[in-house]
Amino acid sequence: MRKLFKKISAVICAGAIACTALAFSAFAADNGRCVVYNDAISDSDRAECEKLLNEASDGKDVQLYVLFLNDKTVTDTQVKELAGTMSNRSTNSVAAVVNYGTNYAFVDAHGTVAERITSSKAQKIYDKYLSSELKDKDNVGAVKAFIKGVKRYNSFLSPIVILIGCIGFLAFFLIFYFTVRTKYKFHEKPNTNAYLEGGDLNFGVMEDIFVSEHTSRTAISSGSSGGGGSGGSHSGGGGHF
Amino acid sequence: MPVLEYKCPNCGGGLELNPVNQKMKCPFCLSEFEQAEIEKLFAEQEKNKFNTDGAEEEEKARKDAEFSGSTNLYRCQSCGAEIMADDTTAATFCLYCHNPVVLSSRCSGDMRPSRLIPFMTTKEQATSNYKAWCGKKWFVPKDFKSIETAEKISGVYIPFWLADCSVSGRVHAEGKKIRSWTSGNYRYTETRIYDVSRAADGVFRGIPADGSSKAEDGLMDALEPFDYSQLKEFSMNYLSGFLAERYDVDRKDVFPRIKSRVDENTEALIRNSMHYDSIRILDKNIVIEKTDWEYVMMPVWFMTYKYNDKDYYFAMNGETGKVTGILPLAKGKLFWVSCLIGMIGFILGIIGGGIFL
Ligand SMILES: [Zn+2]
Ligand SMILES: [Zn+2]
Repeated sequence: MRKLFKKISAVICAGAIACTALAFSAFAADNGRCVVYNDAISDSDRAECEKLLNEASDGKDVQLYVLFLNDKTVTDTQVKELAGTMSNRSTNSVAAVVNYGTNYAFVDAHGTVAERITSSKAQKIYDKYLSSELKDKDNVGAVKAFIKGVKRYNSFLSPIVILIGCIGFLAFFLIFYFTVRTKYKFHEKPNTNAYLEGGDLNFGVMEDIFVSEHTSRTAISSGSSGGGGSGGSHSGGGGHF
Repeated sequence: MPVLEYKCPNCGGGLELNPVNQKMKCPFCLSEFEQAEIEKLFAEQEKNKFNTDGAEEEEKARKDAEFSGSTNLYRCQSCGAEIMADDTTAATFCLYCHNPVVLSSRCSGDMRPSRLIPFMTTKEQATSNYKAWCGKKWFVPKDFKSIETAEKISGVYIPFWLADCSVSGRVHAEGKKIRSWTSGNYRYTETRIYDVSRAADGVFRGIPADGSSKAEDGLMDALEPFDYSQLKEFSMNYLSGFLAERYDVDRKDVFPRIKSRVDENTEALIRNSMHYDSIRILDKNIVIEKTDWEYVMMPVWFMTYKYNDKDYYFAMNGETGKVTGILPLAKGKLFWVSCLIGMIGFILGIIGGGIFL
């Protein structure tokens, strides 16, 4: 009886360990940052992409996800929806969905990051970073490019902002430098009028003869104003490669 | 070809007849005069000469002799500046380049000014004014502000020419008066054009120009105004304890400076009398008809300073205490402060860029 109990308990233990291990691996597969359907990319590529995405996301305020699939029946609209679902996994995230079946990819940002990575920026991430790598079927390269693109457009210090900063620096620098310099240059002009007897000239001739007059007319154009705004916590952009 | 030796009424140069327009032209200051005008002026001068008796001449000769008998002329071997000092005062170093000066001769009578304004401020005042003036300037090298530098300030009588100019000007211009208003959907602009003529004359009295080639002209101009009511007949007593510079720029050579000031001011005054929205000058003619000169000396507290092989100056009007100078700029300090200011621009740019992009 005691032996049996020991055996059963051993089996239960082993089973429990195996189950937890299994469950963990299933969880990991589902919740990985790089998700693959239809064996769209190789296992080694997936592992590599997973590693890259983890490095770029762990401990950061923006989480990155990529989904690869290879399904001709999935439409572009469905890809967009999938990207939205992927990015919904975190409160602040960017997701890319690549469908090799239709050669379509879409980048979706969700949360406060969408304020910086707007739809046009997401489109740029696709255009400038993702598309060329996807054309070459370089999955790891595509994920690297995706990470780079997100970093660039999510960064407060985008090259344009840095450029504006530099222009600000130059403007302040030059204005200050040259104001001080001209102040130290000598430029006092003496007052000659003080020597004029009576303070003014004696005018012998002062003639103002009217010659001609003409009037011109121009139509006043009324100005127009326009504007608009858009809201929402999602933004995205993509295209065919 | 001058038949009679007529002198230019502005600068004293010999006039020549311009065969093209039959006017008398001065080759030195380029003034032009009608022959009749010159003959009239010349006749007046002759009459005045005839009226003066010998006593005045004698008095002048006596004063010249006294001046030349007790005034030494020192010469800087390095820059050529010539400094005068009376027998009781020894000039030791050159005001402009700080090299030693050597006694070269007695001064001649024609170096004696007719009048001068005596010093009315002390060296202590000059030194403290200098420090106050320098202290306000941030980007001046430290050693420029030092006490040793301030010690080098010396009181110098600078030779000045005072010019009395009679000027007449004629300006012909086109003036526009523009009025605009809106009515309905249209904007109307009415332009009225006038033919504007002005002729005016005036007398400028005592425009000063320094007769020293070494003293920076702009610096001396900036010491203006001097209060001429303090002008005193020259006496050797005033020179004691001070240095004086000998004039080396003739009135012929300072006349262009005077002329440009008179021309500019006359034109500006004539323009001021034209009340239009826009003025286009069609023709102008500003002529200085006659200039009377007086050679005087003005009291100036003066200092030169060499910094990075360039000369800088400090000067104070010895009568009124007005301060001026050409200051060296501590470029390194300015550069770094500018960088700091630039960083503020950078941060503002980043914040601005971050918000609007
Ligand atoms: Zn002349
Ligand atoms: Zn010298």
